[in-house]
Amino acid sequence: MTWKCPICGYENSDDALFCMQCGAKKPENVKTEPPAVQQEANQQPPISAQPSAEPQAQQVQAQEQSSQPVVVTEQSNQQLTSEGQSSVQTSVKQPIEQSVQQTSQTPSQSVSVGSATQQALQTPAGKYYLIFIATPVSALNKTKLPLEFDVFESISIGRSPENVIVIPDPEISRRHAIISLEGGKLYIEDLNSTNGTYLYDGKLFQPVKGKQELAPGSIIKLGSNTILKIVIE
Amino acid sequence: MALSESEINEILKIINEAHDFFISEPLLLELPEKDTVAFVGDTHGALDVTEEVFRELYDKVDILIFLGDYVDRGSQGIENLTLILRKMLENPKKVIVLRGNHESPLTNEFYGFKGEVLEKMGDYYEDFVNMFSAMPYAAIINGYFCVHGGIARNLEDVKQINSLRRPDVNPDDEIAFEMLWNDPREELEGFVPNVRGEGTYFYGKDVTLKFLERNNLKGIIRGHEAVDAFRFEMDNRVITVFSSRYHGLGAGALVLNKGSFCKVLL
Repeated sequence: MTWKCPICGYENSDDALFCMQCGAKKPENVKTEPPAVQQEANQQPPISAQPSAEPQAQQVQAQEQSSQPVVVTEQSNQQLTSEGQSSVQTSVKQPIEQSVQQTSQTPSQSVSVGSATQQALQTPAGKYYLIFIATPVSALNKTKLPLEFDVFESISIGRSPENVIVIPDPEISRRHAIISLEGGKLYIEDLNSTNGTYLYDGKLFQPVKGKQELAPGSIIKLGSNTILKIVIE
Repeated sequence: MALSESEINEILKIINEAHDFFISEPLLLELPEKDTVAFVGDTHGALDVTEEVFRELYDKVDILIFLGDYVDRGSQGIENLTLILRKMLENPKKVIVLRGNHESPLTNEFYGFKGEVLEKMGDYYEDFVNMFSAMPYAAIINGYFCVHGGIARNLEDVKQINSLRRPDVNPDDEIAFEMLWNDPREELEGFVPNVRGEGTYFYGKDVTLKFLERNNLKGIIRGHEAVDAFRFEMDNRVITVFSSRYHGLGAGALVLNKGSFCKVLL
């Protein structure tokens, strides 16, 4: 099923997360049947609604807090504007997203989302980085990547180019995992990947279930060949 | 291409003599101090690299240390291995040959050497296995611990190496296995499970420095990882040397000359 870009009107394929024509982000819940989202808000939502709902709510917060527009690397100014516009459009959906979240999660968690993002943006205690410990492309080992939460509301990791961090490892799913910052705390969530996301507990790599907190020094494994470490500087 | 009967017999003679030589030596070779030492990492059938080492470096150094992985991943594993062993037998004080994780049926089954032996020589693979299972795991020279992979979780004292069992075909001993399979990672602490499979580990900076201190060593010189000829880490306490062609990056030999390191590209 295709989705029509709200900015330029281009018909994009369903798996494209950004408009192929202008680069605007796919407005997630507008894509197919908007009424379905309304319904979800009133009912217990399916679990699959959460991953998309949460980051989006967060993005809206980030937009409001920071005076800068969302900057997406490798995109032109024009596209930046489109990005901003599309975010404004999605912000209309915000109340719905919030309520989806609140019904599905413990109150304390959902309340913390707004203030958390705010804190992280205003008083960063340091910058988080990902270091490649092992991956099939050995030239990537020791590479240190900043987790730019002031640019991306959440950092998606996967094999396909639409991700914030792209890892060329055949065992990694196209969209494999997502790292987010909430309340100054870092979280990782597996996106139902084929080969799994694991967190080292000091002895073994344990599968990540749901959203799990990361700390500086956390060691993450994606599939069986890629290991990453979180550091803060 | 199949080898002639006389060539096969010559190779088998070298393999058997090398086996008997290895058995007569300890599993940890504690070598006398030398002014100039050359270290050669994984060659993996890169016969041209090995030939260049003997042509260009051999006369200029006091001792040559091969860090393992002579076969698999290349079509001239037999030729590469026999050249190294022949040189070792000619001058065993000058050519030191250590075992790598590819001197084992665990890898030869999947990376080509078993097939190469069958194709070029016939049913003689077991002769190689027999010789591999007697090879030394490590050497110490000028305060450097030379080993294919690195340190092992249960290796406290280097002297333990001499009491490891022999022959050990795969090897199955945990310490021996890890010395051939583990990788250093300065970003980590302790031993963390490696992506190479069950029983393999990354060794972090803290455990490496402790091991070196406990054994009064300056550093570790090893191969095993397909780096662009060299990788220095943990403040130059761990040096990876890679000397093959298959990975498409640089092939190098490391020369230790009166305490300072010199990189030689092959």
